[in-house]
Order: sequence, then C-alpha cells, then structure tokens
Amino acid sequence: MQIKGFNIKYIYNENSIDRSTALNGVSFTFNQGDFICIVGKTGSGKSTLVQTLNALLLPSEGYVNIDEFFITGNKKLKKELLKKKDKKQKKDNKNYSNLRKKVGLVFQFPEYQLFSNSVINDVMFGPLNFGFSKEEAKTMAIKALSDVGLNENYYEKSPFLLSGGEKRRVAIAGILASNPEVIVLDEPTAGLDNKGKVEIMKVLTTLNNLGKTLIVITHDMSVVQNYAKTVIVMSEGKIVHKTIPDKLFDEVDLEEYSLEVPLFIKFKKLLKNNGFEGNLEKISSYQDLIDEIIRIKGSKLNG
Amino acid sequence: MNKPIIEFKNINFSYDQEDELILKNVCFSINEGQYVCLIGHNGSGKSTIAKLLCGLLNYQDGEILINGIKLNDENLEALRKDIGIVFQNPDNQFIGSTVEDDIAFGLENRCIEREKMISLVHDFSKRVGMENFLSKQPEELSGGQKQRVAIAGILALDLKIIIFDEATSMLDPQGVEEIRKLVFDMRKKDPKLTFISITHDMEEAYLADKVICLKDGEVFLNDTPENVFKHEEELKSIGLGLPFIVKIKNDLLKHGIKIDENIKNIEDLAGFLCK
Amino acid sequence: MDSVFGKYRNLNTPIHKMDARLKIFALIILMVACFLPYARSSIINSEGIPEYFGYYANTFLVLGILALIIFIIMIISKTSFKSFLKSLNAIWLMIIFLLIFMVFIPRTTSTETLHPIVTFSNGYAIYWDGVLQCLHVVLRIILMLALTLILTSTTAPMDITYALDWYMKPLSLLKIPTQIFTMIISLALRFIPTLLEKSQRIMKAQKSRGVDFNKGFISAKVKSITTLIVPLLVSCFSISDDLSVAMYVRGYEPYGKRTNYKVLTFKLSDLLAFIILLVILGFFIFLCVMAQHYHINFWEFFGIKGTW
Repeated sequence: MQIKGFNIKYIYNENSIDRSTALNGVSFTFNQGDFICIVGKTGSGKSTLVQTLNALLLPSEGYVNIDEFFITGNKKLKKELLKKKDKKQKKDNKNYSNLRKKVGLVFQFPEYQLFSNSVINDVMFGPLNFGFSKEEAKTMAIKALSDVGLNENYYEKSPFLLSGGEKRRVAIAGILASNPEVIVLDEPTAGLDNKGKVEIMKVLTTLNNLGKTLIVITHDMSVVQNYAKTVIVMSEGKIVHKTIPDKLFDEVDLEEYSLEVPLFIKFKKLLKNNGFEGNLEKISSYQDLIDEIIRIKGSKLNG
Repeated sequence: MNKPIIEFKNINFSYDQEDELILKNVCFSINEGQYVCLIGHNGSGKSTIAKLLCGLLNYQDGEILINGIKLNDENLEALRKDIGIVFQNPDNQFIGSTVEDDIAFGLENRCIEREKMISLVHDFSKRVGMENFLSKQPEELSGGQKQRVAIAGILALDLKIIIFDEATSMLDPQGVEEIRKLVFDMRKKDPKLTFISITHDMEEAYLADKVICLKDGEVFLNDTPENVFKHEEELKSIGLGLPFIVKIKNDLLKHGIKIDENIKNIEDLAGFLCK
Repeated sequence: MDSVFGKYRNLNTPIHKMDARLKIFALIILMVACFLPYARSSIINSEGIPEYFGYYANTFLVLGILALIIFIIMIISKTSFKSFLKSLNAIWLMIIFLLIFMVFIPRTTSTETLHPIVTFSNGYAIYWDGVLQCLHVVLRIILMLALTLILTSTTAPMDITYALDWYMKPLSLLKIPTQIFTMIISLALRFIPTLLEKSQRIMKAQKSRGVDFNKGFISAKVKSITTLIVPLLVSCFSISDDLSVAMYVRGYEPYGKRTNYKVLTFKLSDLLAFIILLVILGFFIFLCVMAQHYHINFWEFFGIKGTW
C-alpha cells in the first residue's frame, strides 16, 4: 500500500490572529516497506504532516490517500473524491477509526499515554478499541511486547514503575499491538541515552524487515544515516528535499535548514578547505572517510 | 585557582537503609573555576550527586565540603545559596508567568530591592540573548529559549557553582548549540565560576577540564578528558561512546597513522592531515 | 478552560493599562449592577391584574443600558467578540437547564392570575412570567461572562494574582499566610496552558489507539476519560516534583520574606476611572431603589407616562 499526499496545506487557528501556516503545499508518495526519516528544524511542519497521516489533523486543502481512505478537511474536495465510491468506503471515511488501525502513530515521549495498572492491559487497550476480542487482543499484545523485547516478567508490572526506556517500549508496543501496516514515530529516541537509542532503533529495523512501512521524525543524524532508506527534509511547511541517506550530506546543505551536521561531514569540509589531496566527493559515512585518509596517508607511510 | 570548592569524601548513599547503595564510597574534588563533566549510564548516580550538593538529599555517611566547610543541616541554607541547578525539562522549571518574572523569581526570594532587581533582570536577560522577550510567556518560547531563561535566573543570583543536570537533553540541535555557546561565554566572563555538567554528550565531555565517570554508584574514572577517553573498552561496556576526535585518532592509529598528542580539535587534525 | 475564561491578549488599550486592582473592583461593581433588582416589587398592579411588560420592561431596559456600557468597554479593550461567542458555547447547557426549570415554574403562587402561553393536557403550562424571568437571568449571566472575559483578556494572569494578593493583605494581619495562596494561584495560572497542551497531546495519542472521545455511552465515555485523566495526573505529579525542586534550589521558602519584582501602580487615570465607576454604581443603585421603593420605572424620569 502506498501513502500519497496531494498538495496538502494545514493552517493552525485559521480564523484567528494567531493564524499560522504549518504545511504549505506538500505532496509525496511513500512506498510500502520504506523506512523514511523526516528531518527539519522545530516548526518546519514535520509533526503536523505525520498527524495528517492518521487523520488526527485534517488538511485544510489537498488530501492524503491511503488505500480506500481520503483524508481531508475540505468538505467540497472530500465529496468530490468520494463521489464514485461505494457505501463502505464512504462510511470508512466518515470517522477514521479503521484508518488508525492501519496507520499507527507514536507521539514524542509516548510514555505520557500510559494509563493502565499493568503493562499487558495497557498494550491490549488499542486492539480492544479496534474491535478485537479479549483473547485476540492478548495474543497481539504479547507479540507486540516480544517485538519490543519485553518478556512475560513485565506483563503484570505497573508501567509507571518502569525505567524511561522501558516505558517508551511499552508505549510503542501499545501501537504495534493493533498490527498497523504503517508505523509513524515522532522523535522515538528523544531523551534516551545511547543504549536506549540503539535498542529502540533495533526494534524499528526488525519491524521494517517484516515489511512494515516506517516513518520516523528525528533530528538525530546518526539515526538517519544508520537506519533510513529514504530521507525527507522539511522547511517552512514544505518538503525541500527527498533523497537517500548516503546522498543527503552531499546534496543538502544541512546548515541552511538549521539541522545538525554530523561531525564527519564537518571534518570532511575542513579537510577539503585545507586542500586534502584525496578524493572526498563520494564519502558518505565515517568509515568511508577513514578509509580515504588511510588510503592517502597509509600509502605515503608505506612508500 | 587551585583551591578545591567541592569535595566529596567517602560518600555512601541510599534512599533507605535496607536499599542498595546508590553511591558507594564516592570521592572526588572539584577546583574553583573548573568545568567538570559527570558522565555515566542511566542510574549510575550522577543526578544523586547533584541533589546531594544542593541539599535536596541528606547524606549520612561521609563528608561533603563546600569551600572547605562541611555541609550539614545547620549551614545548608547558607551554603546552598552558592549553588544553582538547571534541570532537564525546560517547561517544568519555568516558574514565573513571563520571562522577566522567571528571571526575577530567585531574586525575589533573596529579598533584593526592586530597583536592583529590574536592572539585574535587564542585564542577565541580555547576557542570554532574551532581552527582547521579557514579557513573553513560556508557551511562546522554544525549549532552548526556556533553558536560556533558566540560566539567566541562576546567573543573576551571582553563584559560585552552577550545575547542569542534562540541561540540553530535551532540546533540538539548535537549542543545544545555543546553550553550548552560552556556557562558553559564561565561563569566559566569569573564570571563577565552577561549572558542573551532567551529560550524555561525549563531545561536550571532551571540552571539559575534568571528566568524572560513574559506574553503578562508584567513581570509575576521574581524570582529564584525554585520559578518561583512553579507556575505550571500559566506557563501551557501560554504553558510552568516544568523542569524534578521539575516535578518529584511535582509528587512524590502528592503521599506523600516528597523530600528534597536542591535537585536540578537528580543525587542527584536518590541518595536520593535510600537511 | 481556555474558551470559557478567555486568554490574555497582550495589547495596549486604556483598559489593558488600568490597574489590575481597579479592574477587579470594577468587575465586582458591574456584577453587582448586573444583579440588582430593577423590577417593581410586585408583578400585580394596583388593579390586581398581573402586568408582565410593565414589570419586566424596566429590568430589560436597565440591563440594556448595562449591556451597552459593557459593549463599549469591549470595544475599547479590543476584546475579541469571537472568543466571547465561543465562551457562550460553554454555557448553552446551563441556559437550557434554566429554560426547562423556569419556563414551567412561574414565580408567583397564584397561577390562576397569570396567563399561560400554552397549556398542556397534563396540566403543565408555559407562562409569560417564566419566559421573561428566564430571559433576564440568562441576560445577566451573559453580561457577567462578558465582564469576566474582559478582565481575563485585558489583564495578565500574574497581575490578577498580584491584585488578589493586595486585596487579601488584611488577612495577613490575622496571620493567614496570604503569600502562599498567591503563589498557588500564580503557579496554577502558569501551568494551565502547559496542562492544556499536554491533555490535547494525550487525547491525540489515545485517539491513535482507537479511542473515540465523542462516541459511546456513559461507561465507554468514563473509560475514555480515564485514559486521559490518568496520564494527565501522572504528568501533573512529575511537573510538581520538578517544580518544587526548581523552586527550592532557587531559594523559595513558603513562609519566608520575599520582595516583589512587579508592583502595581495606581495612576491618575485609574483614579478617574475609579470615580466614573462609583458614579455608575450610584446610578444603578438609584434605579434599583426607585423601582423597588417608589415604583418608578426608568422611562418615567423622561416624562414618558404610563405602563405598557
């Protein structure tokens, strides 16, 4: 299944003085099984964009299309889009609860959504809401918890007594449990230490390998570099670049969009400015850079 | 400047007598004007040290000396007036309803006269670059701006010791950069200011005068950044990486490319490699 | 929350510049004016017949004058009418409730002398008296709401707190720690937007897990509200933990002495406004006394004779 966006606009507080445009004409196609990282500085519209994907926010103009769902807040447009569709499809588009089963959204600091007295109940909550029976929900919850690496010792624990990283994994499991085809995460690694970060990203990679589409907002370039298949740069409510991580640092001037520049890129630039004799053009990772330095310097030493 | 301002002597600490010790026989000293980074895995006791220092927790076993005076219940009020902390969550430590109210909060508590307060609020909001936001409310500010306000509120109190308890971990890269510049500027303006930073950021730790690494409540390494980061394997075992410059030097050394000891930043390294 | 009380808008109008203490005083004065009785003491006229219009006309007329005054203040203070209408949204339920109760229940006991508009087969009836009574109560509530909205949209929450602090000062003579009370209010005001934002976020997160906050019967609603309240409480506790620590390390002592950064100043223009307010209050008290004691309606001052 594909996710398509057509010229999406979103304006906050449309009729008041605090009116602000968050999305200003965004179009995109996300393919099934892709691992997309969205980067952009605070206020570039990335959080707004992902919230339109499961209809938490409805675009003021344009629409998002996922299978039979058309997500838009523009009534005229919606009527037109659904004109020739059958009854079921019209019903599905009325409230988007079936869509939310398909597209799971994990907010930043998802630990704030935990409410139940035990981990297992909390994770079962989503499937139960989506109409699964108690037994089904339990099976799904157990699977989701094992996906995020939490075993049966955790099931009956109170989620509030877990560590920060564990809480986050429970919250992610809460979304995974409904077995969505698309998983959207807003800053899943924020506030975690290196170890926690690696653990979460491992879980996401496994899910992606199982064929799930992943859309991850992040400002951590090491996440982009190590895990993404596609990277999208947003700025001022628009998608300004869509590329693969290997080319990102070459093609895009990250500083222009106030993004974090990885140190090896900074170092590469310094080498270039200092007139380094090696070929720096094709370097897209730390290892490439080391290899190139060794190639130049090592050969000199040997020679 | 070599006068120790903070000394921890054989501190053992647990919340409850039966509980496992959170700090085990912790000893270290920090000199006046030093920039010290506390690193360690989650739950290694870094934040506990900060809490002990400003009297949020009481210790039973060992000695904490501040400026050579032993910290105890009687002099706690006096001694903690020299210590300020900036916490992790920018929202939860914003006390006033506007920027100026928040900067003034600590001053009000110290019963500073109003005229002086106004000029202090003015000066220190300028120091952190927030002078044009004085009447803004916290919802109108970014995370980095809120942390800058918190820093201004603490600087205005004219303290001797400032502690950052993961003050940048919830900020976006832009916010982190803002705070980093501010700290640099702050230390330059006031070289006697002792600055302790609890951090996960190894790049920051590399810039410190001294790095104290904790592991399971014990002081594991306590040395200059260069020496601390020589222990690559040990650091890796507790989930800590190396700063970029150390990493690249190590990797090049493995292939027989020896880098001058004195090279401490990537600018110099680039220059060296291009020679 | 936001839509009921309105949000402070940082503008620069004469009303914004007014001393907050005076604004609270004005609020009280105008609210009193809203609630003074302006009708004659009895609905039955000298001939023993109930006379609705003669009885209510004065009330509506005086409330009309008050509404005009409030309207003018709204214009001067640039209070947004949109947010005013929005805040009315919040009281619809109350209005309907009032309607049901008051329309069916006339105020006087001698129902036979009152003319019903409609009589139902089961003996219940809708009376003019009830309708008019209800309307004027609703009007009073709307006026009060407008007044509160003007105060909150023109006065920074902190200024309101300082003003309340000032009003409570006499209590500190009785050794009541008013400064703690003020601190509590100001912190509550400070964190309302933060908690609002958090609750919106949690609601969205739960929506993603299939919760529909608008649908379902009471049991389903209770369950969905729980998924909002519990996380909200948890974050409240974490905020209060962090906040108390932050306040402690910045030297806050609940019973200690503090100086104040912000000081309210009473200006000459405030004195003028104060006098105008007293005149307004006097005027409405006068109207009230005239109607209640001397049975003189407002328009009779202008030589317009008779009742309706």
